[in-house]
Amino acid sequence: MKRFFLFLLLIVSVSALMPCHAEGAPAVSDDVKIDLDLSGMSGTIVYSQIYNIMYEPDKYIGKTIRLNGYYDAYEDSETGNVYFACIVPDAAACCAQGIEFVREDEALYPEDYPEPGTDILVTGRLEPYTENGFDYLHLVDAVLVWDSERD
Amino acid sequence: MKLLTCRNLCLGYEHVSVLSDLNFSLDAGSYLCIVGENGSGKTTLMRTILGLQSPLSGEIIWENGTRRMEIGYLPQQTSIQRDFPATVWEIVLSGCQGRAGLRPFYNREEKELARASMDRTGVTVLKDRCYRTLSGGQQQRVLLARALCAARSVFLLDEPVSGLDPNATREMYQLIEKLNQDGMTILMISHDIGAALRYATHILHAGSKVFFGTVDDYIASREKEGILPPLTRAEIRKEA
Amino acid sequence: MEMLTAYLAFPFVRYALIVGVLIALCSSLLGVTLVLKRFSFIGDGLSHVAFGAMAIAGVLNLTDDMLFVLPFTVLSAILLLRTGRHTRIKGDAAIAMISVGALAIGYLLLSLFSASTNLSGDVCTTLFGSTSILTLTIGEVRLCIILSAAVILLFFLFYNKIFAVTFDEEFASAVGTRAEAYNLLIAVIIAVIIVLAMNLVGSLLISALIIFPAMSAMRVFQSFRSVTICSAVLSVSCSLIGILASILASTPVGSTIVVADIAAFLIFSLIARFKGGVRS
Repeated sequence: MKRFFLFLLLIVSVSALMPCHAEGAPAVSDDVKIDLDLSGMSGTIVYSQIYNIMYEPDKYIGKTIRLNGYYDAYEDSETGNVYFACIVPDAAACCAQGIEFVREDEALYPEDYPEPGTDILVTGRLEPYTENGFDYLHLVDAVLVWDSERD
Repeated sequence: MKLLTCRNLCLGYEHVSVLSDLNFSLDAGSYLCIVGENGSGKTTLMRTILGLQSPLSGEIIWENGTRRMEIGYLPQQTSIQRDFPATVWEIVLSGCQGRAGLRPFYNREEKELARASMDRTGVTVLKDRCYRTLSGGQQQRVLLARALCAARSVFLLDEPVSGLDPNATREMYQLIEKLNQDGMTILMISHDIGAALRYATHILHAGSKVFFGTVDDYIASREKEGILPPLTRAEIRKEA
Repeated sequence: MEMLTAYLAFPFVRYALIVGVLIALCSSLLGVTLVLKRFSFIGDGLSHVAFGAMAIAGVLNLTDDMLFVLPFTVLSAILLLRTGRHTRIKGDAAIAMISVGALAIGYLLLSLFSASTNLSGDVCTTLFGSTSILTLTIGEVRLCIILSAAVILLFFLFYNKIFAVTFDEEFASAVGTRAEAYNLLIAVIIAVIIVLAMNLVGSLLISALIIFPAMSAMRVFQSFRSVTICSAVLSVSCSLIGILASILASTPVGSTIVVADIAAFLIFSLIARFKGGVRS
């Protein structure tokens, strides 16, 4: 029994060291340099990663991020501004994380956008912006790909 | 040599008294049987002697510096124990917890004591068996071995034979008798008047009218005064 | 496999695995005692109290809700243990009242005062854990490691006493072991484990984490020591499998772990049947 417990304590102390190891997400090299490629990853991972981005944005600002999710748009009836987002729900389906994006091309809304709810692949650079005194994050120069043009 | 004295003892729970004005003293090496109806406060008395609950009034005096943790105790089995996943060895060794105090592990001396206790109650062969797979008599002997690890001079038993078959009952009584012959003072709660008269040196009859005295006085008082229902023939025959 | 190594490169996945393993380990160690002492429902009651505490912390807008939830739950554990023995209200009824009461009041408080825009999301996260295990901050991971180490150390030091008090409280008190104190210690440790485990499986599923590994181990093993070790190993493996499976298959973490525990229980029941002779 003593030996078993010493073993357990060893595990705990080793685990205490683990978080100190190299941090940072894997970089997948592509023709465009993508710092954080979440495409094709499981919903749980994507959701958690976006949560972490929102929690600690400073670590990710300026990085190019690619992710899957479903498309949604929101029109502000007062200002007439339209906001586009890639939404990732969590596995328990009680929460969803969204990440806003702005396309690099001069696409027209709504003609050049998919139906809300369509699965999309977005690649863009994370930048902060301020509106009405609130801080937000969005992906700028975003490239949007969805099913009908993917293959 | 006096071992234990109870003076003006009143027992009970909260404000309900179950036994009052109890006066007796016991010599070292005695064999006391506590008999009486259900609910007459036998177990309450034993718990009070053990210090598990405090008396409503009166006092219990241990002579010769006998301390609580030197008392062996065999409580009634609980439903939790019947299907408990533990080996005989683990259970017997836990009898040394009073000796170990706050030390987290048992030392060699205590393990030796546990082995000796298993020898004395004849459960050494069962050492690695699981407690829940044993028969009632075997379980009781394991608990006896555990209590032996704690006992130095006094042994308290709460209905040690309840639920045992006649063979196991006889073996149990013989084991207890052997302990008494080795110098251990025995306090035992029993429903079995016959066995009480046969093995004990003293009887404490709990109830509305309390009796304390030697076995002979007990039989005499029951017959003469007629305060207590007379012994049945069968009970006396058993005694002979 | 390739996917798995890619996922393991994310720091939050590693945090989740560390915290998951530690919580599983702690909960299984005490699980055997809880099941045997017929205390399993205290675990259930406390987890709901922890939910209520979480709700209060949310309403008060505390930055570090652990610092509030932990003492609150520990205090409730102590109260539950006391009232369970000395009042006229029966132990199980008292626990049911407290647990349902805490759940209802917690939800009411949240819906009345919560500043959050996603109420149902918050409630769901607290009840079912959602992905909160994958969104831990480094501070929470550190706190979890410290508390787990404390739980394991306490269990290690008091292993023989915990066994003695679990097997026979009467005898333990009679030979001078302070059974009340150890019961208190057990209750406090349970409270700590429950608060930790809320991150892993959410407050509704915590009991599963505590009970299943212990029950599985008790089916097959015969000594207290082997039951404890087996339930620890089992609980850790199920948690690892559950977390990895939920990441790969995009299923909710908490429920996946519990399903793994249930599967283990069924397998162990079958083994027990084949071996025969072992009742439970």
